[in-house]
Amino acid sequence: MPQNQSELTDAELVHLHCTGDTSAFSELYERYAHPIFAYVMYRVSERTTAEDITSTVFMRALEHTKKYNPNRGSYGSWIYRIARNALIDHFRRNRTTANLDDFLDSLIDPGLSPAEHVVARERASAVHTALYSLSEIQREILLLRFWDDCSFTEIAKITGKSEAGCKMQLRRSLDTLRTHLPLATLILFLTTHTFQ
Amino acid sequence: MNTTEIINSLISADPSLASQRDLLEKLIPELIASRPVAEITDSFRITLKQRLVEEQQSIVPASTGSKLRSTFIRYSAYGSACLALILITAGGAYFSRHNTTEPPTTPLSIHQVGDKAFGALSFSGSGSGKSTASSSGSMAINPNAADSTSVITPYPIWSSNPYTIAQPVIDSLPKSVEVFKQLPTSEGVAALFSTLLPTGNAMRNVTNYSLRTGDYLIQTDLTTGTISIESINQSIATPLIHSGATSSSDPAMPSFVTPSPTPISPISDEDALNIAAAFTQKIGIATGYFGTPEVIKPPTTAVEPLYYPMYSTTTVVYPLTISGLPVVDQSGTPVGITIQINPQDRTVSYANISTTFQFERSVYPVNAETFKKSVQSNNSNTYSLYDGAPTDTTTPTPITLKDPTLVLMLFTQNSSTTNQTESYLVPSYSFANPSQNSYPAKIVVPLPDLSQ
Repeated sequence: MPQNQSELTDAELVHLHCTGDTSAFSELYERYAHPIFAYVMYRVSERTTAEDITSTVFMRALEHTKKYNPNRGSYGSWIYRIARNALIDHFRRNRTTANLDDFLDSLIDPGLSPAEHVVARERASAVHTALYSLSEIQREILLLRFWDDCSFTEIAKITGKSEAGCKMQLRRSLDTLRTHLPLATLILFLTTHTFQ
Repeated sequence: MNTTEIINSLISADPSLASQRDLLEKLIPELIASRPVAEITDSFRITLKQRLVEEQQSIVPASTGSKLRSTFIRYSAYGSACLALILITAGGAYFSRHNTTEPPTTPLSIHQVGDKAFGALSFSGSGSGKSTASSSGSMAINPNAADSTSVITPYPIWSSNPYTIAQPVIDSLPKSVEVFKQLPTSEGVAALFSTLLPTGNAMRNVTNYSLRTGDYLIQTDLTTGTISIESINQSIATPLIHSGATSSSDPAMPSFVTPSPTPISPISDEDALNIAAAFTQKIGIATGYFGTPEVIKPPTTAVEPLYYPMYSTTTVVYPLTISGLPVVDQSGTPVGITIQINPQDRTVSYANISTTFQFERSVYPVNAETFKKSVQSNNSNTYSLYDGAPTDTTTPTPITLKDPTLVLMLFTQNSSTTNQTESYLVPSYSFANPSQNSYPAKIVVPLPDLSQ
């Protein structure tokens, strides 16, 4: 029978799912729908594509959750890894260049005033420029840490790198942002801080 | 997000960063604050959730399919109270004439809400519009039905192999088919329940209610017209048996699965049928509406080595037929009285009665191209997932489907426009999967393209 599933851990929900409690996966979905969508949205050019990929991620997760082994990492890192694979698959199949304007617009809160929108647009543009000055893995680790709020342990699981290696890559990312892109970085950080 | 923790971890990885702590304390919060807006919309979130539910129905073991439907509906955010109000006002007292304690001698048939007349399914070879059906009986086509049913889309088929279909099968498709939308009323549901629980069962005049009787908890679901009966003496309705590993030291064994201490001998078909018959008699379920019971066992040969835990259940189904056509769920499993037997203690662990009452009909054209597309799963569905990178994709062997059977697929969804649970009977082709090592055992393809 349905329980107060919001209090259960991911592993307990997976257990319930495997025992036939079909509402358990719905609870897992509610926990990860937004984080996974955001993770995908940060990395693709448009909302429709992000929704398609998010759908793919959860369909695959549903299909394979019974194969998930809790001894090999958290459910969160497991499903992020599915999302990462889905993104790689997507980029491999779709090599067309995304429309940057659409992408930037899609990332801005539609509830902002016109003036706020201009500022946010400039900021988004600077962020985009700065991020794409990094290597792919550096950008991936930086976004996972600061935007997707993943721990280094989770990042290591998702990317297949060592935890220490992820930290080192992140440190280099920050160094690159600070030293090689002074203008973008200044805009990125709202020009209110002194970089020495 | 704890900035200090992040900085400390960075410094621990590279002690030279300690001299730049001040910089990091400014830079990192700003970087976090620059995270763009990427809110998921409610419409997408709910739609995907519904798709996942439908997908679960097609991949979970047969005996749990109907349970899934009612469980999820309870779990989902759609208010049954609102639905009940609508049902009460919808009218229709057809089932009042079936409100009898005597099991019926004739099978259920479809009838239309408007004229309460019975009708039979018919297939038109010439009609193609949504309002130009040629149908048998005296039923008229509801002019509003097209809008209310156009949200259905054929569900995706997920498998490790793509399916192909012979051209003669496609050529044989009718040009249009009638789709039936369920319009339940509270009176109809109450009458249905009392009909199916006739022999002094206290539930017979109660809807949307739970009742404990003996070792079982009986629940009715007003939204789907289903009755579920669950054993309260089993913490897990179906025992988990690992498909390959024999001890918890096996690395393939998930920590939460306990190996069965003793081998469980399979239950014979005869024993299963006897247990099911005794159960229906004990609870007081009228089986006269339904067909000859059949035994369904899990396909043990199709289980992958790591596909654990497997359900070792035997299910007896009293199938529901309408106008001579079997009613199945999206996995091709017969719908009707589904009785799940625990082979370990040889008792009924769960039962579900899923049937139909009032349906409104409309006609949709058949789109052969969509039909083909829904059978041929695309490459994105076919690569191994857990350990594999996308480059692990292997070329799957197509499975050729032959000799379909015409069925009615019972399809339940929440309407995106009204937030009501809607049930449909969709004419479909059911193909037996010729591959013993591929799941699912049956491929059910809706005939009409309802997304147009």
